[in-house]
Amino acid sequence: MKRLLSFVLCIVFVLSFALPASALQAVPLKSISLGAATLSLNVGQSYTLKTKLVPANTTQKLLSFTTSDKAVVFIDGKGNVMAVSAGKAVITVTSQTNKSVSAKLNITVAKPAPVKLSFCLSQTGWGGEAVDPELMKDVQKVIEDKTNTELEVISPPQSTYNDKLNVMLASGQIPDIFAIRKAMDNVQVMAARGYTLPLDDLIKTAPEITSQVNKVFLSYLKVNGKLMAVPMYVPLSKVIWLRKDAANKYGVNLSTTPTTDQFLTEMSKIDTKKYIPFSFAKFLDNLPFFFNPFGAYYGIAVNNGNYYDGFNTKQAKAALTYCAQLYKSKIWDQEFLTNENAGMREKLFSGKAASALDYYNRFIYYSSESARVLRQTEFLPIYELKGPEHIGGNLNESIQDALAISSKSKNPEKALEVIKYYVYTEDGVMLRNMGVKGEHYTVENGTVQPTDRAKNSGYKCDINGFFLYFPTITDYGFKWNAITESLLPEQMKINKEVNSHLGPKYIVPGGKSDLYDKNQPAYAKKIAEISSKIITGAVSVDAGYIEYIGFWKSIKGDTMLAELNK
Amino acid sequence: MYNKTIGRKTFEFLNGIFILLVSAVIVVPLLMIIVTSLSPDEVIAGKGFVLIPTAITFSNYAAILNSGYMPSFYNSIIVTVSATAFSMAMTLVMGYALAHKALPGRTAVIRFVIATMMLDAGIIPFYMVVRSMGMIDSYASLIIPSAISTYNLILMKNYIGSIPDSLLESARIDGCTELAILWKIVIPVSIPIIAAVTLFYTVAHWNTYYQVVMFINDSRKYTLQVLLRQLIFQSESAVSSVSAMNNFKMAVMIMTMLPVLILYPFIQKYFISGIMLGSIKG
Repeated sequence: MKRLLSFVLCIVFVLSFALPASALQAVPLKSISLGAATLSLNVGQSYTLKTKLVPANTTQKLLSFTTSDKAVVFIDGKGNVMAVSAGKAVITVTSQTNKSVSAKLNITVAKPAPVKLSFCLSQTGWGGEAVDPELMKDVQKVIEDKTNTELEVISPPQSTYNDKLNVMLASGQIPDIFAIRKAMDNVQVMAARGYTLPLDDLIKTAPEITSQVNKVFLSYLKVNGKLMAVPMYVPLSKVIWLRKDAANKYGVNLSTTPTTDQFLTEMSKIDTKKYIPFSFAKFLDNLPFFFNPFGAYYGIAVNNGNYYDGFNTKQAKAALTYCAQLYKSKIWDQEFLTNENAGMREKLFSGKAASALDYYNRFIYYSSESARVLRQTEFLPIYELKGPEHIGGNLNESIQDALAISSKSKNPEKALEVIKYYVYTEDGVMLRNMGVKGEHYTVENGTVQPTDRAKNSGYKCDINGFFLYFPTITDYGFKWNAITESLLPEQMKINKEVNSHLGPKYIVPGGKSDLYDKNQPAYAKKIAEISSKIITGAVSVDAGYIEYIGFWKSIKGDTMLAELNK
Repeated sequence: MYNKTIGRKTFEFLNGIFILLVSAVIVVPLLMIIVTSLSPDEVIAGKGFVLIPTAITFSNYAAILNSGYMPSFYNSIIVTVSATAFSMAMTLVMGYALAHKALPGRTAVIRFVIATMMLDAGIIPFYMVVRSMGMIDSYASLIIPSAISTYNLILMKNYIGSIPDSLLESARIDGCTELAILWKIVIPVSIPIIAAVTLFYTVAHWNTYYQVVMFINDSRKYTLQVLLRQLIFQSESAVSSVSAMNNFKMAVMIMTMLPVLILYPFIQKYFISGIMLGSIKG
């Protein structure tokens, strides 16, 4: 018996030397554990399988992963699970060596209930400005899908946008997200009335916004040091567009930065019976283009932290005298007081006017529109005029439209997510400017084309908007029409150049002076009124300023400045 | 026979010229609108406005018809027809009641009604009332608040008041209820005023713009006026680049007035006699 035992021990001993190599190759996999049998995920969530192999030292480690429904749950070769859409699916993990060893995981994918938000944005804000309700709905659906929201869209027509928004705000029904026009002025008023939510904390979760928007421009939307809205467009500025055909015909020889005197003498060569030499829209807040060369400021200005009335300076008087001179010599559009933007643009591209003041991104627009109405020519930008002291600057409009979140919003985080998607991502910008592929536009032979439906509902299908939106898109995924593509390099050059000609822009904070908050609209109206009277020659500069000083006293202007300078 | 003197002839000649001029003032702008709406862009770009067409295109009309015009056209029809029907029902019943001289508190009610013509609280309280009634974004907001126009109500009341009492009295003796009198006696003899007031209401409801914009949020529910105005003002936004040229704007104008223009001749004869009767006997 002892012998036998020692014999066996000997064999075991010997074998124990021989075994390791072969035994390691063959530690079979007995079972796979996934931790749990069921799992619930939300749409968009991902999850890494916690696979445990028994025994742990098994050599059969190769596994394959399958899903019963790819549309619900997607799984890659490493066990990373992605919840794609709502539903149920079974994940099966199988040993590649022994197909009978497997484990299953039941995954239920739920869609979190979409968050309800109201969103007030003008009728033309929904995909390339198309106003067809069905097309607008298509854009809305994409936003809802991407942000898991249910939007109550309030889209008043542009012409009534402010009326509708103001009525809603005043009646206490503040949309979760709303666009503010002429934001730099209006945001001050709206914040002072408590309609807007301070975004300082929220925006920390949105590096997309802070990385794209220059701090200076965000500061324009601050009220009492708190951020109240985020811009919808990059800062805008205007330059003069001059028709090359008119310039050549009359030998108008102007550089891109002529002096005020050159502008006057050269433009006066144009036959005023054939052309309006320079067309101007009725909006007198465009006047800074002519104030800047004289070192004047159209409004309340800041100098070393000191607020002063830029309109009541000898520089401003010089600027107005210059404008009146342009008007008197019929260079300035004699009917400018009735010019809407649209009318002014039509005058320029249809060749009724030789030049006009408009946004810098309109090179392609004017060139292609003039071709469309058979008045084709090239358009030359005049970035700024240089005054007697060789200073200047274009019309810096800075931030025009901004988006704010309601102070009463129950879901400000979600509201910001919508803003982030629609205004600050490439997808969103594409959607906002072009609409939905297949609905708004189609791509044929690599060239983009508007659908018939979109074409007839005000859809623009052009590149202009992209220059104004935040993420700069370099690859559109399609080509523009031949005209646009050929003009694009020139426009890009202009876009770059314009930044070195920006005129000054000062912001007067709201809430600092009650007098200013109260009288700002009256002040803006009055300086426009006095300016138009002086330009049209209805009153002399001196008489105009006598009236203005009377007004200044009536609104206690000096006290107002003192309050601002406190 | 009456012999025309030279003076008379001169007068008639001058009168004819005068009337021609007056008609021209009305016809020429209309003609210009029609011709402009039919001219292609390049013609408009050159001249601005045209009186004699040099080229004709229907592309502007095609663009409007393809621009979601039809759904909003149906919306307009739905709103106009139902609002007019509701308005007429309200106005008739109230006009008939107020025409009764024996109605207790009649003067007070009439004064109260007239007060609504003078006093207007403005859009914000109006909006808040409509909202608290839960009518925002529904056509009820376009139908109910504007159901009764005081002016039309007074026209109606005066006309019904001019129906001889004996006529109504005889019906009462025959055992008619007040509603039956309204239905069988008052309505048949009031056709002219009913036609006129219906037209007033139809035109007013058809042209509603501001209320639609204020009370309706869903752009699919917008009426024709809103769509057309938006098409015209497309280029108003500072950064927009779509431009509506004059020919397109004129086509929009024609499309807006077309339905009323078609309706008008059929009701016109009642329309004029209706105003006369209502006002003279008031």
